[in-house]
Amino acid sequence: MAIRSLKNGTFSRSLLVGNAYYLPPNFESIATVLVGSGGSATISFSSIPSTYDHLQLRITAQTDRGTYGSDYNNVTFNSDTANNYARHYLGGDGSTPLTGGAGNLSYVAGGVCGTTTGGTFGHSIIDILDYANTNKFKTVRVASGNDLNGTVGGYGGEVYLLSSLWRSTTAISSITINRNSGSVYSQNSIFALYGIRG
Amino acid sequence: MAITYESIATTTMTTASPAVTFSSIPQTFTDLILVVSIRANSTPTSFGTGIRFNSDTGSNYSRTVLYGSGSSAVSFRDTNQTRFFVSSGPTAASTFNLIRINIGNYSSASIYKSFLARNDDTSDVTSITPGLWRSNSAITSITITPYDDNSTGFATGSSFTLYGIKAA
Repeated sequence: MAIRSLKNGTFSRSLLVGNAYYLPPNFESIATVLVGSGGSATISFSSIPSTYDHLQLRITAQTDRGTYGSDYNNVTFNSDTANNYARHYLGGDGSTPLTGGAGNLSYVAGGVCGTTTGGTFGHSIIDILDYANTNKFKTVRVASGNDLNGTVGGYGGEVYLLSSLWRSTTAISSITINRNSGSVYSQNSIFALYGIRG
Repeated sequence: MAITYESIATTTMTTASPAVTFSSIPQTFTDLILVVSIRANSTPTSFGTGIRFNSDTGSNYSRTVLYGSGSSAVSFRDTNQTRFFVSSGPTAASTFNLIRINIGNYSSASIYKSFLARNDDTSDVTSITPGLWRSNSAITSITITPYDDNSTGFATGSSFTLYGIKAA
């Protein structure tokens, strides 16, 4: 394991006395899923360590949804599919600003992704704050967009800022991402989960 | 534990400059994050920032914009552009716009490139803009140029940093 010096940023090969100090990284890759040929209906991260302060899920994805240029990521925690989620959003579709909210949902809105029909991959950054705290309901924020260079199926690209709530004090140990309308996520979609230390 | 979030390159203007280019971008990361702190070198009536990948000047860029001006929210789109454009208003003295662009799966040679830009322009608007570069080429260089009707470039003190995020 390479280690990095606090003093001068140089790398050493071990923690033995006399070698450089160890600086723990504060943004760590936990796991990454790259969808292969044939696609994947569901993406799951399990056995998530509770040793971080926050999680960040970075998605670049496409589904096989027909007709329309956008699809959506639906995210659930710890396999909870009951109506324990809520959200508010500010968004735009290229012609009109959008805002709305809803409670008692069965998933967190995880942003927009592209479709094979539109030929694009949407990009979402999902921050899950204080995910291991057993005294708090969990707050999730999302920045997401999918541009289409115009319209597909009568709809333009979409952009969203979302705030969501999971009404549970249980530490998050698993995350499941499902496409909203398509049957699978397309090949080359990437889902990367990171842990952030304070 | 390997370092996941790395600075690839950074530069700060010591003199006014018309463009900044990051070239020979390593293909070893999953995502790129470009963080730009800029202001115009003069007082133009309009000012913005153009982003190009791999020196592509074709009409292969587009965007869907959502912004708030302090009085209203607006959404619009631009298609078939010759660069990805981030709007910025004229900036007051000592005031810099902050632009942060997340670029997903930039090294793939199989997909169009999608990215998400956040612009904090303290003198004009705050915005979030997904963009599209219709090319399957892996991104190996990024050029940042000002759109400035006085054509005087980025001011001294403007800074540009490119980060890479690795996957497990």
